[in-house]
Amino acid sequence: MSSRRPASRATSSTMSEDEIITDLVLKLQALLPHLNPRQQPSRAQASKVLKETCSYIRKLEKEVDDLSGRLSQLLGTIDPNNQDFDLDSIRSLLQI
Amino acid sequence: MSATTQQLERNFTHRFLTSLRRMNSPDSKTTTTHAAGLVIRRRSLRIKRAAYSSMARAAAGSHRAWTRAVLSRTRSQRRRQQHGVRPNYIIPPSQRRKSVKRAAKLKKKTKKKSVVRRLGRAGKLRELVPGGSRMEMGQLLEETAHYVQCLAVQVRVMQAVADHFSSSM
Repeated sequence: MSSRRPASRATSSTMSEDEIITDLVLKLQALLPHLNPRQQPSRAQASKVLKETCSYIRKLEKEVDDLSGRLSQLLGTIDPNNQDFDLDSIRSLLQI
Repeated sequence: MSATTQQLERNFTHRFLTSLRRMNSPDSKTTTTHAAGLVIRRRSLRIKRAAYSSMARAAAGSHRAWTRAVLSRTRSQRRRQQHGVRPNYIIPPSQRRKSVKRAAKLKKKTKKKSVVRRLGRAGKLRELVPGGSRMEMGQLLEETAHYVQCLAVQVRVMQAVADHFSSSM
C-alpha cells in the first residue's frame, strides 16, 4: 500500500526538503538515547541521525521478533493456571 | 519516565497481557517435535502481531498515522494466517528455505535502489516507519519520533513479561 508520489512534490514550497530535515532531525536527536547531541545542525549530521534512526528502529523490531519467539516458547511450557496474567504481574512489571 | 509514557506502558501492558491470556494453550496436543516447532512458530507470529496492535491501540490517543498503518497491516496478516498457504505449489521442505530466501533477496535487491532514488534521503526511513511512504517529510519525522518511543516501550514491556514468565517456572 505504498504511494507513488515522490517526496519532492510533497514538501511545502517555502522550505526545501533539506531545511525541513535539518530542523526536525534535532527533534529526533533529543529522543534517541545513544546519539550525541549538541552538534551544529548540518547536512552531514542530519544524514547521520537519519541513518542511526533507521538502525535503531531495525534493532528494536528485531528485538520484538526475538521476544515474540521467546514468549511463544514460554507460553507453551507454563501456565496451566492464569495467575501470571493478573494485575499482580502488571504492577511488578511496571516497577522495573 | 514521564507520566504519559507511564500511562502508555500501563495501557500497552494491559492489552498485551489480555491477548497473551487468550493465546494460552499448553502443548499437550502436539506429539512430534516437528509439530511442536510449528505451533511455537505460529504462536510467535501471533504474539508479535498482538504486540504491535496492542501498542498501536495504546498509542492511538495521539491519532497517529503509523498506528492506523500498523492496525491495517496486522489485520491483513491475521487474515493471511487464517487462510493458510495456498497448496497449488508444494516445495519439499529441504528446498523451501533456499527458494524463499532467494526470492526475498532478489525482491530486496530490486526494491532498494528504486526507493532511494525516488524518495530521497529519507527513503529507508519511509520503508521502516509504518505508513511512511505516504507522509510529508515533516510528518514523517514526527511520526518517526513517536514510533521509536512506542517501540522502545513495547520492547521494554515484552522483555519484562518474558523475564516474569521465565522466573515463575
